Amino acid sequence: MQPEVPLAPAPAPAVRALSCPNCGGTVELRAAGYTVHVGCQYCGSILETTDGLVKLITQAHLAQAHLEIPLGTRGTLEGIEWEAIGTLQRSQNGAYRWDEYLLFNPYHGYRWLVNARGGWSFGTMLTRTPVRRTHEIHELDGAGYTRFFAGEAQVDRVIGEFYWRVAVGEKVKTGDWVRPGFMLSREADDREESWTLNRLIAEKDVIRAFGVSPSGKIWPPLPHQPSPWGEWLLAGAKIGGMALAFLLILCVVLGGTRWTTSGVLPVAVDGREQTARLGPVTLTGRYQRVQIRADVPRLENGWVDLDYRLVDRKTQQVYAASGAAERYEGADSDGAWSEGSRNSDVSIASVPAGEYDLIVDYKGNRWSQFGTGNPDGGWMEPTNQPQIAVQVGTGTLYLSSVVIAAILLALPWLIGLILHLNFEKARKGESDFAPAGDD
Amino acid sequence: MLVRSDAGIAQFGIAAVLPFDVSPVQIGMRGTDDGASFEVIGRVRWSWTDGAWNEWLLLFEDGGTAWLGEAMGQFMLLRERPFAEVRSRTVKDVMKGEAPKLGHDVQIDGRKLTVSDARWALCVTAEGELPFTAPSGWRVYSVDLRGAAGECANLQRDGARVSFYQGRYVTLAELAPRGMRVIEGWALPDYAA
Amino acid sequence: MATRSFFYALWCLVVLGLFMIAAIFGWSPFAEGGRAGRGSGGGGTGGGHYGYYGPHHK
Repeated sequence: MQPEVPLAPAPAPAVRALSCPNCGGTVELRAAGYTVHVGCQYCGSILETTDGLVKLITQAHLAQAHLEIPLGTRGTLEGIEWEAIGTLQRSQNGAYRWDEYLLFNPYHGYRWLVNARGGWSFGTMLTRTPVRRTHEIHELDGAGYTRFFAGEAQVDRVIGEFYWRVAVGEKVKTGDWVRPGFMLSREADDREESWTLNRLIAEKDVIRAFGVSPSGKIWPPLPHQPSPWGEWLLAGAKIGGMALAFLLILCVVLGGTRWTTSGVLPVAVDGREQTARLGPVTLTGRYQRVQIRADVPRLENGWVDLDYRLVDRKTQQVYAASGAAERYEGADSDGAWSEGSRNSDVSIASVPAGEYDLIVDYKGNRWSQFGTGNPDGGWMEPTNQPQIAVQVGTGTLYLSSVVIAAILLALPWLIGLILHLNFEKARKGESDFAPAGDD
Repeated sequence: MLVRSDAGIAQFGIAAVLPFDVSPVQIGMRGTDDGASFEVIGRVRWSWTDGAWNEWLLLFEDGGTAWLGEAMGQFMLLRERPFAEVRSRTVKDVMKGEAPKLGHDVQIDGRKLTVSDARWALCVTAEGELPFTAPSGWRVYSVDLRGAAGECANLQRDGARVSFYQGRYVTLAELAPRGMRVIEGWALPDYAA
Repeated sequence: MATRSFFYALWCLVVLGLFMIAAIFGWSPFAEGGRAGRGSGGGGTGGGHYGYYGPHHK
C-alpha cells in the first residue's frame, strides 16, 4: 500500500526577512509570492518585492506608528486563523478616517478587517459582481443593498505588505451599499473595479482574536449596523398581536350587557326628593358589573339627580352610585343651542351574586335661563308626563379595562418602534444620500 | 522541466530557480472537480509590472488537463477551448494584435464577460510537466475576462498563436484537496483534513 | 433578542391575567359606584356629577 501523501518534506518556511534599503530595518514578508509592495514599519518607505527582488519605490522618514493590531499578530475569527500583514489608513480626502488591516492565511487567501469609528467589519473580496437593480438598490445572492456612501477614498498611510502597488495619496472612487449587518463596497479606478462584502462583527470577537481595545458605544450608528430593535419588532408584533387577538376574543365572549329589570318613575312637579324601589334584581354571576341606565325623555332645561342603592336582601349590604341627567337649550346671537343629554348611564363594580332591591332616590330640577325660576312647572308639568325610565343590566367587562389592557399590551412594542425609528434616523442621517434638511 | 505532448514527455534545459512563495498548492496535490479526480503536475509562474501569479497544471484521470490560476489569494479553474469556437469581435481583435478596452463587454456562448485586465506577462519560470515549453523571459499578451456570477476566461497571445481558456472562480475547499503544501506555522485547513 | 421577546410575552401574560381578574370580579377603576357601608344609609359614593348644575354654554 502506498500512502496517498508521501512522507512530507520539511514544511516550507512561512516568513522571509528583508532589510529595508532606506532605514535598514528588518521587514518580514509573510505572504511571499503574493506580495508586491511593502510599507516599512520603521520608516514608512515603500518597497517593491516581486519575486525576491527588493527595490525602494518611495523613500520616507516617518515616525513609527502605533497600530491597534501590530503586524504579525495572529487571531482566529470563526475558526480560521488570520495573520495581520498590512494596514492602510484611509480617509475621504482627509475626513472620515478609517483603518484597514489586510489579513492573510496561505490556505484561505486574503481578508480585510476594517475599523471605522470603533466598529469592526470583516471583508471578503468578491469574485462575482452584484447586480444593479435600481439607482438605489444593488443585489447580491438574492439580498438587496441600499446605497449609502459615494465618494473618493485616499490612502494616508501604508505599513506592511500588499498584493498590489500601494502609494500614499492614491485615490479610488468608492461606493457603499448596505443592509443590516452587511456593507457592499465598490472600489474603482480607471483600470479596474472590485467589490468587497463587509460583514459587521462583534467587537468582543475582535478583542478576543487580536487584543484590540474596546471602543464603547458607537453613535450615530454605523451604516450597516442593524437596529437593536428591528428584528425584535417582528417577533414582538407576533407576540403583541396574539395577545391583542386574545383580548378581542375575550371581548366578544364576555362583552355586552344583559338588561334584566326595568321600571318607570314619575317625577313630581314640586321638585321634592322621591324614592322608588325596583326589584328584585337577581344577579347570578359570582361577581358582576351592574349597569343602571336612566332615560328622561321629556327632560328640557333642567336636571335630574339620581342616587342608586343596590341592597342585598339577605345581608343588607349596599352598593351605591349616583348619576344625573341634564339637558339645556336656548338661543343667543349665534342661534339656537343645546347641551347635555337626557339620559344617565352609571355602573357599579364587583357586585356579588344575590337578590337585590334597587332603591332610587331622585329629584327633578328646573333651570331658568334668567335664574328667576320658571313661572310654571317647565318640563316637570304633570301635563308633560315627566318620568324616568330606569333599566338595570349586568355584564362582566368594562370598556375602559379593555382599552387600558390594549394600551398596556401595545406599549412595549410601541416603545421599541420609537427606539427603532430613532436609531434608523440617526443611521441614515450619516448617509451621503440622506434627504436634504436632515442635518 | 518536462514537456508533455503527443510525442511523449521530453526534458528541456534547467529552468530558473522558482522564487520563494507561500502558495498552498504544490506538485503532487490531488483533488476533484465535478467528480473527476486530478493531480497537480506542473506550474508556470508569470510576472507583470504589478505582481506575479501561478498557473498550476491539473491532469485528470481521463487524460484531460485544466489550469488552476492562483492570483491575489484567489483561484480560477480554466480549461482550454479551441479558439475557433469563440465567436466574439473583441476576442478576434485581440488575436489580431489590438489591445481591448478595459470594462468592455464580450458575449461568449450567450454569456456576458467583461474585460477586467490586459497586460504583457513575463514567464518567471516553470516546474513539473507542461504541455509546452515555458522558458524564463517568455513574453505573452494576456487578457482576463470576468462574468457577474464568478465565470472567468483568459486569452493568451504569443505571436500569432492565441489560446483561449474558460472557467470559473473556485475555492480550494471546493476542490477537496489532498497533499497540500505544508507551510511552517500554519495549520492545514479543515477542508484538507 | 429571545430575552426581550420572553419578557414581552411575560408582560402580555401579566396584563391579560390582570384583565381576566378584573373581568372575573366585574371590576374597573372607572366604575361610578361600588360597595358602600352596610345598612340602608347614605346616598351614592363617587358620582356621575361634578356638583354644579346648569349649562356650560357661553
